[in-house]
Amino acid sequence: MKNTHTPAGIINRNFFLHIHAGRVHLHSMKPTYTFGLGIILGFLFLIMLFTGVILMVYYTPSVENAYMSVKDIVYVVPGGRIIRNMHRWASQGMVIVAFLHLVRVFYTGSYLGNRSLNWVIGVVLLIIILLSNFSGYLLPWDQLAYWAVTIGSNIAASARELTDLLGITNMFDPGGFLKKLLIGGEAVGQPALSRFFALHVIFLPLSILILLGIHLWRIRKDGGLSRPLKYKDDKGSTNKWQAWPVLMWTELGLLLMVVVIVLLIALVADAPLLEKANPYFPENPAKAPWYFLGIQELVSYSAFAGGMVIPVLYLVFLFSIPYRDREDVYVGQWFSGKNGIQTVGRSALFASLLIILQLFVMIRFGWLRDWFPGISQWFVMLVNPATISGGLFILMAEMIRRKRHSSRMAALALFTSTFVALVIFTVVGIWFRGPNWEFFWSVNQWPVI
Amino acid sequence: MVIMDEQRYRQRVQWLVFIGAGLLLLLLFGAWISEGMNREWRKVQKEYANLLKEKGESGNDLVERGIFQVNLPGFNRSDRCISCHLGIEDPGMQQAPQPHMSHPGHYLEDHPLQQYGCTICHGGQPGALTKKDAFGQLPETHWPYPLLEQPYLQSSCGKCHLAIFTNRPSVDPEDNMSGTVGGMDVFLKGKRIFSTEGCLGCHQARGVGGILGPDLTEQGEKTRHEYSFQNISGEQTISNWLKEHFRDPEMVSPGSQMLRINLEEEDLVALATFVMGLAKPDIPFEYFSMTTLNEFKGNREPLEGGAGFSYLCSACHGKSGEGKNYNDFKTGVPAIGNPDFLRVVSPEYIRFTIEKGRSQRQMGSWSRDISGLNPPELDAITNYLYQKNGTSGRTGLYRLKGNRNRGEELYDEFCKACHGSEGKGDVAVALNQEGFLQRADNQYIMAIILRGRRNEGMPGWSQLDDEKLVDIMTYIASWRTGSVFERTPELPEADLEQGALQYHFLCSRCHGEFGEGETGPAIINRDFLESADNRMLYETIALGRPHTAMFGWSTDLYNQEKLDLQDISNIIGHMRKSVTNELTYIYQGTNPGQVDEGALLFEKYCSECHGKSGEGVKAPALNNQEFLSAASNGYLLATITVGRSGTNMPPWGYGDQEHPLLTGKQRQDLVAYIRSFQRIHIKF
Amino acid sequence: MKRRSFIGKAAIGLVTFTGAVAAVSYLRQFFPRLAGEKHRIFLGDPRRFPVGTFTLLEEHNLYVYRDHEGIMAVSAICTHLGCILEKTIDGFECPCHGSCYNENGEVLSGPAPRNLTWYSIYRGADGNIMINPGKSVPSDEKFLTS
Repeated sequence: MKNTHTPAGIINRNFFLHIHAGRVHLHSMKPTYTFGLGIILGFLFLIMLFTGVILMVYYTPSVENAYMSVKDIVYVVPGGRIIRNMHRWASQGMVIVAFLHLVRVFYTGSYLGNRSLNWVIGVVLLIIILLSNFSGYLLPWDQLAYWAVTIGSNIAASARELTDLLGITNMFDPGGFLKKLLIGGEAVGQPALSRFFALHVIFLPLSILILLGIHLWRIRKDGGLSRPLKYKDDKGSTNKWQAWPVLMWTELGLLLMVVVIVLLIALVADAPLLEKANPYFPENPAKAPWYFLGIQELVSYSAFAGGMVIPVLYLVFLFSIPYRDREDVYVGQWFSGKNGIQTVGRSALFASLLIILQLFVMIRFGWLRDWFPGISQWFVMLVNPATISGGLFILMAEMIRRKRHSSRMAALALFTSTFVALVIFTVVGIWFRGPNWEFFWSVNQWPVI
Repeated sequence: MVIMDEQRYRQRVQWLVFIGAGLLLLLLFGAWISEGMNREWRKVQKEYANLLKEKGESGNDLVERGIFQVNLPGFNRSDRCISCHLGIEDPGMQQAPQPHMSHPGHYLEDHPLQQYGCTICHGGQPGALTKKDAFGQLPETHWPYPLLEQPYLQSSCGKCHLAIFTNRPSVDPEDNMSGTVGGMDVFLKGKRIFSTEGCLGCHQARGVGGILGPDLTEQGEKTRHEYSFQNISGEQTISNWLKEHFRDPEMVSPGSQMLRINLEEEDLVALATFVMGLAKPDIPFEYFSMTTLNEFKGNREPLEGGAGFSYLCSACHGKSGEGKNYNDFKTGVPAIGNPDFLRVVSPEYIRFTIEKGRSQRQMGSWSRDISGLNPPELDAITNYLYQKNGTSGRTGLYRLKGNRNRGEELYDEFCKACHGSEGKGDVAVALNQEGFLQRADNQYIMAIILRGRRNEGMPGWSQLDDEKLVDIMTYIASWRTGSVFERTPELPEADLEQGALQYHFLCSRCHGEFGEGETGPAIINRDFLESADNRMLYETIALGRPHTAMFGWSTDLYNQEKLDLQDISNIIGHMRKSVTNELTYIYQGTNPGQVDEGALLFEKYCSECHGKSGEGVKAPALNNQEFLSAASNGYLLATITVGRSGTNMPPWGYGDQEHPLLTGKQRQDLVAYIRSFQRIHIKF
Repeated sequence: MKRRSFIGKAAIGLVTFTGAVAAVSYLRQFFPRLAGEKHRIFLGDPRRFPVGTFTLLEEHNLYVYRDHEGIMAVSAICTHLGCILEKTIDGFECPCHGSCYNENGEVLSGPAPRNLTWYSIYRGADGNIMINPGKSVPSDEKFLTS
């Protein structure tokens, strides 16, 4: 007969607690190893679920009433302002923490070994998180939401740049296909709102829950969180603590801190709500949600290259990492030793300099069409900071792979350079692009329209 | 080996939990207070309850607490203003401080709260529960319809009550249709200014007006977003934008062609208030007044001539038709109220110009498709202008007797230029002629002198006072040697068909197919036929004019057909009927001038102002096709002869200090040359 | 055992095929049949448009241009990412990423990949002048109004 009062028993006999193994390795408990990012992400998601249910009770997904229903939540519903703010800020937190978690998992080589599938699930979860955020972004139906989604849907249709160049759009229009799938038509309207609402409250949360379940189950199957090879064969209770109660205390503490921080921010900062959406008056500048602004910056060079090619390549890269790099010796270690640190540092530097240089040239001197007015769109599509950087990063990674005979080093180089580039482009898109997508050093310099 | 002590770790984490829980509790408590208890509206409601208590009413539950709202499904909103403005319907709160004060005036009687709410008139954010958000005036509230302060608040009345082209809303207390009493004075002043400044000359509102500027029908519904405040330095509000725009349109909207209006500050405020009230809100139709609804559909009372001129023409042509000179306005604007213009112009000319416009100028076509004005309204504007020629009521002057000598002086001064000295004739007909003077009695002579013969070249002389007119008439009558036959024949009923045939075969050779004049004068001419009675016509046709080519048709002097009473009656009938027909073209009439000589004269005298090829430099363009289709040769001749006082066009028939006198022949040559600019003859 | 394995394979095959058909039928539901996108636009009397100016028809996202000879219509949608163009002194500009076009709709600068489409204008069977946004014409073709 199993003893229900042992630590292991408590864990094993409870459906929810059973996610955890009976014992947890010390290394996994080190705060500076994981920073608790995964758990924090999970708790943020929990906050989203709880606050989301309340919002869903009061929100109306119709273009006539959506905006006012959100205002009513803020003004009338007791504590509605807080709930809405928590929902908004926790969602932004989710995107940031998701990326940080991705970074952590990558740099600690936690995709190596038998954890490749979990990595893939994780990347899929990242995409779904972004989609959830994007679909929720539209729901208030204000100027910010409407134009952000218009831009986003047009980015989805950016394959049209290529099919138009080839002259085949009439027969083969994947851009239009994607756009129609997303917003149910050519312009954002009630169909888009209904679709996004359905996605946001049912389909995507369910998908996250299911995938999250698999993601956590895989952790157990893969023998817990990753740790350096020297601990690989720790069995039984060697270097392990009972999950109950230490892990429970840790998680409880993290939960409380997450809620406290989100609540605090919600109390002092209000989620934005601009004027009601007006299709005749584009915001200028019209910006996608901040996490897509890197892509929007790329898209401003070429719709197809920046909106389709680079993001798809990036996703392909992410998915393929655990299948191209199998150097399990690097698992469980931040930055993979001295070589790794060097590679990372150099890649970061190279990426920063390259991007900033290209931006400088572009902002100061213009680009191809400014120098050669009649130039073919093919050139504009194929030669721009997005493609140039992408190409050079791939080249650099390949060179490093050959020089150091290490796929891990190559992976470090490529991941670092692309991530730094993404960050820089996103920063430029957020803070340095003003009306007409022109470069301004600060918002104060924006012209009055 | 990772060295971490489980105990220490656990303790640290437990501290974390403790602090976290404590913080959470604090925050929850704080949230409860700030979001639940510490709401702005609760404080206001408490204040209100206190006020009631001070007034002697008692009981703690006299004010229901909570959020109140008026649901307005027709407006798709719920107004929550009454959550703070509790005293709005309480007559005892008239002297209370805001927000407890009751609504002033009787507005709530006519506009019950439960049906109208508040924001449809006052603006502001209906769903908000704090003062800042409810007023919606600050940019961070992101509300496009801010609370309206007085007097701009009056613009809201316009949404339902305004009928632009009728006197609605009126200030007549008996008027139940959509009358409002008081509280709209600024708005109505703005409406008056709008109607007199000629705004609809360039803008359209509710289907009427010009197309040069934007349509103003829903201008009042535009939000701040839709205005550019780039060049507005003062208050960044719509009312200020409008005022600045009226003051200097080009500075506010670069590239704008809008004329400046010079108004006092309070008039600018009134006009801005009016413009902010131009709207077509998307609300159930029961809220509108009937006249307003009709106007939206295009059913309105027809505009009278004066009103039409004032709404549409006065911005460019001036409130009294004084026009604009070339210093103020690039292509000038004709002074259509100028007396010299009005005495040579025919109503057909005015009507034609209004209908067709002038290509390559800013005078557009005002035909119904474009301007929304009906043909009768265009006729009314034509009449309004034409009536300013001062001829009305003076035809009785012929009975008076004047001074012959003075008349001679006046004749030499004014009439000799065309009619020759002592009436011998020059470019105009000889007046000193037996045949003429025996047919034409003084009534006829006075009538023609007064109104002239439009399209023929004879200007009207209504600017002369009665005494002078009588003197001239006396002088001309003094040439008469016999007396006028006073026999008035009994004319049988005219057979118009026969008359048309006979006219065509017998008269048209000399008088023109349409009576517009060839070698003989124009006889199907309204001015002529209104001045000449049947007696004169009969006698002239029957007896002819000796010593001219007009032979008498009832004698057989030249072997022509002998016409009897019936025939002549037919012809007269035909003439009188034809003049009432709709014109297909404006007939140019004859002009025996020489084009080549006219070209030389034009270059010497006219080209400096009118341009080398008549394209118009400092004076109107004479090569404009619409102009040439509207202007008969007579009009051109008369204009050249008498000039236009008040403008730079000198009277070439008389000469002045800077300009020589041009003979009749020279003037006719100029007319021929100007006529040669015409390439197409535009149909009416 | 051939017969048994055959029916098993056949069953699996049919299930797979049916599953594919079911999946396609299900997924088709996400694509509404919107035939109304390319409707005809009523232009009306050309004289309502001042000569020598571009007039924006907001609801239809196009500019109408009239000169002394005829009337033309050009798309007001930027070919880059679909923002609505603004009229400038000598062309059009997109507020989203700064693409510039001249008055013929040709791209001058910015990320726009294509020139603007000029739409066919024709007189319909009922005598009214209409714009057909589904049919494009060269930029110098105009519907004659004189």
